[in-house]
Amino acid sequence: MTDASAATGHEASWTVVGQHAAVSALASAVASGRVAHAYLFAGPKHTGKTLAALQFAQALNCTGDGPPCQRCRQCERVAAGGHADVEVITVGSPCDESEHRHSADERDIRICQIRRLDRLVTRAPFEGRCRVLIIEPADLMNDAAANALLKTLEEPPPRSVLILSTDREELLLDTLRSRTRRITFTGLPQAAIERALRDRWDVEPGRAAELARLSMGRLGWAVVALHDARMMEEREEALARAEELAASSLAGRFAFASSLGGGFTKDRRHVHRVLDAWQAFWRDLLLIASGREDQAVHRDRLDRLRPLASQCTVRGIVGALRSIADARQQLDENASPVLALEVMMLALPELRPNAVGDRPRP
Amino acid sequence: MNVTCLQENLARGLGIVGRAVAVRSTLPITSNVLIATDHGRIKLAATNLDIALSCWIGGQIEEEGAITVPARLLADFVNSLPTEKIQLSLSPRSRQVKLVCARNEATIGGLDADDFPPIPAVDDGGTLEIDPKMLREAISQVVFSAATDDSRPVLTGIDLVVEGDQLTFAAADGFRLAVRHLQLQKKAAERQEVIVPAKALAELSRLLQDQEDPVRMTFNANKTQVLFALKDVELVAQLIQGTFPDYSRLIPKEWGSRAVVEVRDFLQETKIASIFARDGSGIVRITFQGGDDGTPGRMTIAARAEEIGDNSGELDAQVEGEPAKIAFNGRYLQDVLAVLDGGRVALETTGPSQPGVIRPLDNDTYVHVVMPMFVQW
Repeated sequence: MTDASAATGHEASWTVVGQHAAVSALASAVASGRVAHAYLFAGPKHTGKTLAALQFAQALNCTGDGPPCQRCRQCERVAAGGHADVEVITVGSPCDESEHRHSADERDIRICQIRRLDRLVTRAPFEGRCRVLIIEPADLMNDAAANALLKTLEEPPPRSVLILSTDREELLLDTLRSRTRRITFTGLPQAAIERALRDRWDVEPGRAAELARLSMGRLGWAVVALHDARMMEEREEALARAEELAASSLAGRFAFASSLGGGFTKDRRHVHRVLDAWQAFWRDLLLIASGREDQAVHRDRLDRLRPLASQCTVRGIVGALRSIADARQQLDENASPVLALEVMMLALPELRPNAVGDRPRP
Repeated sequence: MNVTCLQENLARGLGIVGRAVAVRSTLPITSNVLIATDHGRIKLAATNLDIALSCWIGGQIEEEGAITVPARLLADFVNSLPTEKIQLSLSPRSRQVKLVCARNEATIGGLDADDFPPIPAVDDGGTLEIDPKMLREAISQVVFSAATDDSRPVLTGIDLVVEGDQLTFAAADGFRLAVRHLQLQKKAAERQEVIVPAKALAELSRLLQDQEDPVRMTFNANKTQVLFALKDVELVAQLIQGTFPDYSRLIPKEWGSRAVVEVRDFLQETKIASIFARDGSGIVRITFQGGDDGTPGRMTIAARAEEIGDNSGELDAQVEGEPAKIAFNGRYLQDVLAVLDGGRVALETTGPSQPGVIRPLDNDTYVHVVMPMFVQW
């Protein structure tokens, strides 16, 4: 793939993979000095939004040649997370109220945290040229927080840039979206992820191809999976469980729904990761059932997936996928986790146990 | 690093910079204090990224170096030591500071001085010298009028204008406005205006208490920081970005009624009325009128608590113009009267719904405007 935007030359030192349009827009804003006061970084999870935000912060404060040079003190301090003018406002980040103790278990970004941002943006930068405040995920701001932010966006103070980062742009207020410059991040082609894994992370080709398939366009996910063996194990378990549940009775399904749902308040991310894997599982069945086996991501399981797919109708699989998506939405909307998962289980097609794969071949 | 200093010097220095140590921050290192050798002295520094305080203390320097250590822990430890010599040492490439004092020996784990946020250098925007007593008085007369909530960030600051040989401080919170002019020794080269956070000036005021030498105030060229250099102590404050409202239009040019009273009596009567006003939104009602045939005029300050009781106090007043009535929040009156250093004060009004103006009689460097409260008379 040729780099279409390389002509401008400003983005040579950016290391965000595959987001040419986004990087080019940001780099030329820095080069021309026409930087907006607020940006909306919109795109799927794990596609480079955070890295781009940090590199934008570096570029805005860089004192070297070809910002972000990655060599000057400013670039180094941003990269190390120690720059006084770059702050990420997220769930659980501190506010100015002395009696508040925020933790990452909270559900949303609150007004007191936005008030802290309000104070910070009006202060001149401490060590750099520009204060950069990143709100992430911006869709987790509650109503009061979003409205408070609106006021800041209406009267943007000089020498500061706000970045709202989100993978669910539609949940933001229209009034917030219209006051920010939109930078779009897209899912990456499998080939680009595979190449990046090989070239930058020195992953051996077979594994790079596998991770690229599983990542579904999210390079960041592949990189995390690369370093977190536990995450891959968890995924394998979830896939095995998906297969088992497809063939199990309602009682077995409900038992699992209650054990998985019971742990939701303690570790909601785990539940989402399991549902991620299940979605990938049913997606593969759908691809096989509709004759696009070459697109399936779980190549190593094809032997087990084929006989399952042959028992399904496309309609049944789409129903399963829809029920998983619905369950995720209900979980986000505060439904009882066990109930939401049980309802989901009811909609999964009931398949015959997959004995073929287990039996020793003659 | 290897340095020796007196316990009392180190304790005093830590007490000074300790005011700037961050309480809550995303950067853990800002809850540390920086200890570094600097041109034959020991430099202590702390910052919460709003203000940065540096302090230099004398000591014997055996070996140069720098480190940051948890501020609370170090201060608590040093404060408890006997008044003897303290030796601080740090072996090369280690982050463990060893402190030896009398028969105590402690080790404190620190963080690299290189990671400490660099305290901004402020040196390129022109310097003013100000008498510390005058500066302290000026700050005390305006600082209470600054807004304490962040709904309009510029109002949480104090507007500083340098023009000619005058330095003007102004603070407003939407209900009141305080403006104080200060005469400078030397004329400034050009007009400059910045907004300094009120909290930073309150800290400065505390440091000015035992200061004799003139304070040097420096802005940097792009108006992002202000430096106040005292003897052995420096305070750098991040300026508030934005435009301070044009307050000159808010100060009434004329008045319909004017009462001159003793500040002390006025304050005392306001305090008394405020006791009754506590349950009634803090409303104190002031009426004044001139005397007949040469008898002095009177000012009455009254307050009432619904279904509990009321109070009315009276003081002598020199009244010009029409009899007048106006109601204020007692808290606001007390705030301003408490920072006027005795003498007599004039209260000017043009009507119960127009702002009241308070000016000390003996000098025209201070003016205070308070919005009235609307009441049924």
